[in-house]
Formats: sequence, C-alpha cells, structure tokens
Amino acid sequence: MSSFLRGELLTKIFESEDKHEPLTVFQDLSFEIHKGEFICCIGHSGCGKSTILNILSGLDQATLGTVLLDGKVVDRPGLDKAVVFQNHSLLPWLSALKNVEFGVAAKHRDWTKSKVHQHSVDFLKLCSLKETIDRKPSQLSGGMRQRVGLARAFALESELLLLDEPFGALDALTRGSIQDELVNICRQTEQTVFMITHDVDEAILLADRIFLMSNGPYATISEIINVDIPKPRSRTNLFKAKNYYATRNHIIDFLVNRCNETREKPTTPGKKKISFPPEVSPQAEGSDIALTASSKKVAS
Amino acid sequence: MKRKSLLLSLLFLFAFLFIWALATERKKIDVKSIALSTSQVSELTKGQLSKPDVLSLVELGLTFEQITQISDIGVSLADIDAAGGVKAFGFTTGGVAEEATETTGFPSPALVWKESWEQLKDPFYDKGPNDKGIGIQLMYSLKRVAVGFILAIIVAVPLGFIIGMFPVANMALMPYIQILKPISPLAWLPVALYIIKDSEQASIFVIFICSIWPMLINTAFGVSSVKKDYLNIGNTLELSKLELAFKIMLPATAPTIFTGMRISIGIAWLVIVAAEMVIGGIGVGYFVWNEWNGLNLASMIFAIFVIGIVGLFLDLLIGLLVKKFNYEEI
Repeated sequence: MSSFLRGELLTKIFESEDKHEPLTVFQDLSFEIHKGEFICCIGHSGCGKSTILNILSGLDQATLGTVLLDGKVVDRPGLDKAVVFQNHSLLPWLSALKNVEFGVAAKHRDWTKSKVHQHSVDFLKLCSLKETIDRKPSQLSGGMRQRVGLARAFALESELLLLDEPFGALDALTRGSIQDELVNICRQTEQTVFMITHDVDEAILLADRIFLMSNGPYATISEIINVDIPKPRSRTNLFKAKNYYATRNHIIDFLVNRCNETREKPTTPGKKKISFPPEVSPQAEGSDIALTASSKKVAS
Repeated sequence: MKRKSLLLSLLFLFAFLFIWALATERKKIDVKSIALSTSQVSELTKGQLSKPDVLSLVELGLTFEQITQISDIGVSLADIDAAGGVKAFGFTTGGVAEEATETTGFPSPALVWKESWEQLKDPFYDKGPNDKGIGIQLMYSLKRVAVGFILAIIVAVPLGFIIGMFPVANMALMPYIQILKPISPLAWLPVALYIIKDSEQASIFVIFICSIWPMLINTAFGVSSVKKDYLNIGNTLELSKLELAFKIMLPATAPTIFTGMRISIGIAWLVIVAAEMVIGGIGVGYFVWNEWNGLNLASMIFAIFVIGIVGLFLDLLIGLLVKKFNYEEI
C-alpha cells in the first residue's frame, strides 16, 4: 500500500513572549497513513494531538518538517481535508441545513441550489437528522450539533477526514449511537480518517491503527498499534473479540505507566533539519522504530 | 408580569398628569392674588365693597380697572347679585383669568392636549416660513438624520472592518478616533458652516460626525472578536477573502454593528434638535425654539413629546434589525 498522508519529521515550537524559553510541544514526528485507513491518536493532554491535527488540516504550520497529502505539500487549509472540531464549530446564525449547504455550495460551485439542498439533506439523513434541520444550532442538543458537524464534513466527501475529539463533549449514550453511525458512514464512503480521542474503547472500535503519543513537551509517537480485530465491529460484539482485552490493556498500561518513559532528550532541531531534509528521507527513522516495536508487541 | 408592569406604567402616567394638572391649577390662583396688590385692594375697599367682595370679583375674572368702576358706581356685591351678576353691568368675565394662564403661567395638561389636537389635525399646514405644521418640521429633521446617518454607515462599516481586520490600522487610527470621539458634534457646526457655507448640509455633516463613532468602534470591535473557529470554517472551505468578509465576518458581526447603529441613531436624534435650534429655518429643533420665542408653551411641550416619541420609534426600528440578525452563541 502506498502512503496517502504522511508527516515527516514534524516539530512544533511555540515561541512565548513572557517566558523566555520557547516550548517544543513535539519533535520529529513521522508517520504514514494509507488510503482508506482509520487512524486514532491517543495521548495525554498537552502532547500536541490537536496541534498535529491542525497541521494536517493546514490551519497551523509545523515549525519544522512537512506534511504530504497525496504527494502534495499541505501548507493551507482546503476542501480536500474536512475537519470536525472538538466544539463542532457550526455557524450559529445558520440553521443546521444551511450549515451543511454552506459547505456543499463552497465545494461544488457549479451545482444548482436544489442539487446542493438534496445532497445536504441526504447527508443529514445519514447522520439521523431529519425533523430538526431547520433549527439554529443554539436550539439543538449537543449530540445533534455534533451530528450536524459530522454531516457537513461527510457531505464534502473529502479524501481526508480529520476529527478532533468529536465526541468529547457528549454523554455516553449519545456517544455510542454516533460512533455506530460513524462506523457505518466510513464503511460507505471509504474515507481516510485521522481522529483524536481520549477514549480507549472508542479507538479500538473505530481504528485500523492507533498512534500512542508520549507526554509533552518533546512528545513523540511512541508506539503504533495495529488493531487486529476484524471489521465490521460493533459496540456489542467488540468485547467478545479475541484481541480486545490484550489491546486495551496494552494501551492503558502505556497511558498509565509508560507514556513518560519515552520522552526523548532534546536535540537542536535546527541542525537536524539541515542534516536530514524531509524530502530526502523516504521513511523517517523514528517511525521505523515505532513500527517494529508495535508489531512485536501485537504479535506477542 | 406584563399586565402588572402595564398597570404600574399607567399609574405613573396618571400620577404625573395629576401632579402637572395640580401644579398648573395652583398657578392660576396665584396669578389672581398677585393681580391685585394689597394697596390696590385697600383702595377698592374704600367704597361699598368689602375685602371678600373684591376677592370674589377677582375670582370671577374681573380686572383691577373693572372692579374700580364697580367701586366708583358705589354698589355692593349684594346689589350686583340682586341685579343679576356682573354681566348686567356690562362686564365680560373670564378674560383676564384665561389670558393670565395662557401667557404667563405654565400650560395645563388639558391645554397641551387641546393644542396637540389642533397640531395633529393638520400636521402639514404651511403658512409661510415661520409657521409650518409639525409634520413638515419632522420630515425635514428626519431627512437630515437619514442622510447623515446613511453617510456615516457608508464610511464607518468598511473602515471598521479594516480597523478590525488589521491590527496595524487599529493601532494607527485609534489615537485619532479617541481624540475625535469626545468632541461634541455641535462644536463642528461652525467649522462645517464656514467650509460648506450651507446650513442644510452643515446640519447633515453634524449628524454624520456624531453617528460615525459608535458604529465605527462597534464594527471594529465586532470584526476583531469574530471567533477564530468561524474563520477556520471559511478557510477549510477555501473561501476567498471577499467571501470570508461577506459570508462569515459580516453575519458574525451583524449584531454588534446594528447595536452600534442603535446607539448612533439615538445620538443623531439628540443632536439634530440642538443643531436645528442653532441653525434655524426649519425642523423640530427650530420649531421648539420658535414656539419658545413666541411663548407658545403648550405647542412647545407638544413638540417635545413628539421628539420623544419619534426617537422611540427610531430606536425600535433599529432594534428590530438587531433582533433579526442576532444569533445565540454556542
């Protein structure tokens, strides 16, 4: 499989004005994501997960390193990358339907009004929204807003879907039903998904591979876990799967005990870029190690 | 709740009218007792008339001269009553008392109501440059406010967008705005009159300059505080800068802009009355001043109420727009 999305030696440094020391959130992150893959990224707060997602979406830029989407450098946000933010980011002055239509009309500028409308309604239906689509976001429940956000992202039919803790603010029941819908929709659309989550079960339910990140500053992807449970998975039969508990325990063990161990010693990032230009190295060193480590662990 | 507040409002209104009526009523009696000094009373009581007789004749509305005539004839009040009242002696009553309240006393609510009715019956009459109906006066004032206000929108909203979008523009222009803002709009009037040499356009300029600041500052503030999330949505959808401004920033800041307009229109309506008093010619402000000069207090008070009511409607009008474009943050 060829890589569809790839990050090469990504480093993010926040320059601070009051504190004299600049903050390196993560350093030398490298990864590859294949077309149609579902990736979940887990890590403690402050490890830069959301920053990675923003860099992948083009809304933020890495201090060092590059992101390649389908061979092209990602340096700005665009329609090829649909994003669902943590706080769903709907435009509050537009109704649910108009919010989705807004995105669809921006993508398909040659479409007629009725075609945009039909397309939007279809995707809202896919996210189980029918009666309430003419309401403003403030009149919708948290779960419904999140569905509208997802519907807008799905309706764009982008090649890459970026989800930043989309279910973080939802109660367990709503979360479960939207997860099921996400599984269904992803199966239908075969999109490539990069999703940030705090929920280990959610990650196992949805992901093909899980990126485990060590704590920041100087965070990195410590392990990449292949979720070896056959798809389609559902919340009800997930627990019966053979590898479920092994995978789950492994991740929790990492998050509780080992996420601090792998912190790398800071090196001078400027030097590194000159000595290893990302364009030259086809596969980054760190990622290689992580991959072999993870495959060993899954095998054992 | 609504009924209670309405009842309370009406109570306040009646209390106000009652006190007003009471106050102006007292004034009438005061006028009469002042009408005759103690020396005049003692002069009148030299003849057949007693002091209470004189006062009751004053109550009937007779002047000092008329009572002197009665005194000179040498009849008592009992004689007058027996003959069939003062009218039998050829005196007209009431003239003095009414005139006294109309010209020197403060008009009673009833009088203001009567005057208002007269004015409202024919609001568009035109009897020459100094005598036009309240409708015509209002139209001129509203026209000046409308033109000045619209000009202010045309300048303030785009400029506010620039200040809000570019911190450099904000920092460069804010000192000037802060200096210009607190200047009373009327202080510009002589400058405008000298430069433009046209009172009509000068008053429009004064409205323009007083309306511009709240709109400018509100627009700039609204634009600079548009949530980054909304802009991110626009950016991920590859909207152009112009689309970003019109489809994201404008609707996002609309409530703030309209709130600025609401403040502006209130100030503009305050200022136009003062400006017209200075400039003269025509308009509600001039109308109030003209009625004052002619001591038509009832008509003046009517005009003051009209100014208040029109101001209320202007505020409600913009308030409707604020409500229409308002949205609930989530």
